[in-house]
Amino acid sequence: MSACPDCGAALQTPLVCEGCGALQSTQGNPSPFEVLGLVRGWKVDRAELGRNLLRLTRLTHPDFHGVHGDEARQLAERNTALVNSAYSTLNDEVLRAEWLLADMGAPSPEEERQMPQPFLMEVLEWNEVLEEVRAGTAHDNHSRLEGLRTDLQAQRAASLDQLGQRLEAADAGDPRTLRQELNTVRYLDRTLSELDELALEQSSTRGD
Amino acid sequence: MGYIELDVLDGAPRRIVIGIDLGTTNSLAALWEDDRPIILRQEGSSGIVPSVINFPTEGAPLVGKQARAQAVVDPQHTLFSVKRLLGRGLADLEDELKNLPYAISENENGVLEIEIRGKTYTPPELSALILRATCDQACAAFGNAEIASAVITVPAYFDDAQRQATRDAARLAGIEVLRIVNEPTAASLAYGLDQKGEGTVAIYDLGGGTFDVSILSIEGGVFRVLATNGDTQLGGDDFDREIVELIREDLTGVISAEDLADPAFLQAARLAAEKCKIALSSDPRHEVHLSLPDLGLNWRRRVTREEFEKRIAPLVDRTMDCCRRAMADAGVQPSELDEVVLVGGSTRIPLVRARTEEFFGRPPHTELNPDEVVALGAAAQAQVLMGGTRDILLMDVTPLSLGLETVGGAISKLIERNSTVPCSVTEGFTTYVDGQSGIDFNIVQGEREMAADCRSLGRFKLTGLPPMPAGMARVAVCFHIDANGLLKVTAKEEASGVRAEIEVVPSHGLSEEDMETMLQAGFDNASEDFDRRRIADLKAEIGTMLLAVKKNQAAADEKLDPESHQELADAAARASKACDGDDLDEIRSARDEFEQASLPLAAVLMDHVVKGAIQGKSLDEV
Repeated sequence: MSACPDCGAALQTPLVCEGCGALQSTQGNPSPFEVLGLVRGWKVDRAELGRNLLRLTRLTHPDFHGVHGDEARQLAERNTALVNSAYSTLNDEVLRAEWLLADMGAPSPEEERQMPQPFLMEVLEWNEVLEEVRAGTAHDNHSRLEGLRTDLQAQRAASLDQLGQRLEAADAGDPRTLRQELNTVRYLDRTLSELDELALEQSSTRGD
Repeated sequence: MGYIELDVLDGAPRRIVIGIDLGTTNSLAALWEDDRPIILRQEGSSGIVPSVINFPTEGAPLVGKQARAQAVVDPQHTLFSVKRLLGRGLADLEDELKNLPYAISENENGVLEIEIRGKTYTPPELSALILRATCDQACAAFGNAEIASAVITVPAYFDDAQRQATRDAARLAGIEVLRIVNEPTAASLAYGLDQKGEGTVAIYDLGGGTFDVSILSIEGGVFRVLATNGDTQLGGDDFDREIVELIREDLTGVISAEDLADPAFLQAARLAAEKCKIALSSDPRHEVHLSLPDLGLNWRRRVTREEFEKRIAPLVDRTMDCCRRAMADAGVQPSELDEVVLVGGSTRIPLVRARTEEFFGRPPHTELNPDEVVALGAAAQAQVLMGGTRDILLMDVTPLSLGLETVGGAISKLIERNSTVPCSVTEGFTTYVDGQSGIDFNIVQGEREMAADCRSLGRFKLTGLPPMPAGMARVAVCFHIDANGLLKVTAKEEASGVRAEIEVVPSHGLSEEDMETMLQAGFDNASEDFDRRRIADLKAEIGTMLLAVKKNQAAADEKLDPESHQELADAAARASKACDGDDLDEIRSARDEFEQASLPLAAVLMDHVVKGAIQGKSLDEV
């Protein structure tokens, strides 16, 4: 852990000294865990994450550095952007998993597109439900959408749980398997957001 | 007296930092003083500057109340709702154009130009006039002051072009912009400070021309926006237009089609519609009266609230769709909200109140003045930015996703909507042909899948790449959205370390060249502006004197003879009235008279000072 050049205090994050408030200019690309002063890993304590975000933002935010000249303001902009991006990466399970996978050299979604056949059949079925609701051929749109939502959310939780267990294990196993697991979650998220969009359309045309 | 003391001891005007709510219908300035934000207004005035401009046959443009008064008499030279034109192109305004009584065109850079009396003005130039008038009025209200810098508010859902245009307007008005703050966020700040409210709050802000909804979490002085949504072309103006449509439908066949499109008719109908809308917020029915002798028209028509609500219901529904999306993005259920705060004049409409109550499942908070809360919040944020307090922290978001157009017109998203700002993303690019020296890209903002359906912020051209075989160049382009919500793009070629140049061609914005020309034109018109400045200075002086008299009212009541007392009161009233107008001679003579009439009071106070000195007190203790 390096020390603050101004006051000598140990730096908990490469962006700012929590002892004297001096903004630090960073070299290279600090990891989101380093930025937010957390231990690298799948499990993240959400409450701690939120507390660290607010504590750091109170020190780095450009609102508090405008009076110290352009250079300080620009460093504040940059460091706060790093805090915000680290937070959004760690706060979102999919983005967090993406970061960990990339960090361990697993293939990117573009490099590993193959998914098991039965899973793809399932995706087709979800899309069919959405199509029927969209076309208005199903009788009970609302409950069909809600039913599908419950299913997808349960699957998503199970997939993430499995992925998390692998990531936490001493040996994470085949990076391709990890990628496929995470791709499953991405498929689910895509369908869930289409479903949300459709539910919004339906409720606004129903007028409630 | 106070004024003389100030003049003797410290003649320089105080440099103040203010918050400005630059509204579609009205603009307003506020200042932080004694640990709270206050509206800057002169005695007996609301402080509100109507965002209206009139170009008289001769002399400087009129802004505010006087301009508004010209609307019916001189409709073709009176501009309303300029804010809706900021950062927009003709294609964005199809619906609006038929209701505007003046000519609008688009220049070769996609910037709108409004033609008035043979001269053209861009929306930032027009907004600059309103900003300047708002600042002048604020200075007059404060007394001996000048504006050092300002926080200016914009609708949260303003895109980059609209924000840039607002910043350009401030620059043209000679105002240093400390920060551009989102209106609902500013409102939440004023609400949080005033009510000491904490928890999850929805701000529903329906103004004259724009609608925003923001979901925030307020905790320990941190105001954190979770999600925002809105429509920058939806507001009270649209409700007025519904009534105008109703009037036009009824009058079709009664007067000719040409008369129905006549500027005088349109302006009169617009004003009558606005009056009707306001009346229907308290009365179940209102009689619209149009009297236009030139068209041989003297017409009355009763409009019921029911009829009005039926017409505006689809518009109110649109705001509810925005609320639904904001809540979904924030991941908040209505039952999890601690408060719903209504902001903006249009939230006085009963239907709007009923629908928000129904949607959020609770009666909204309406204790704050919906017209003032945004300016108050902006003043509070100005105080933070000046280093006055670190107890408050605003964490805002960017309202729209930012993306790049890819091959085939699709979009690759760089920054998701509702990302906390400031935020940056760095993307790698490479060349497709040997020796390629530049890369073009089109940056878009919006939620649609195809670039053509989003708003293009501009074409960015990367130039100066060193000659390399195709695919060898590694250009890192950094897209940074700053705390103002404004985009900055920088680029570097990593293999050679060459800093590539980014040339920005905004889709609907003024280029740096345009800005220079306009600023220069401003200097050329300096003599014309001189009178205006002189008027502003005199108003400021009168403001200071009024304050001083008010401060020493007790001494005046006690020590002045009845005749001097009466003269002072009369002169103060006259001076205050003269400040409502913009007649240089009248204001000057009112100031002189006021100065004369205040001499006896000054003598009394000086006497008091001298006595104090004899009693062994120093001057600054008195």
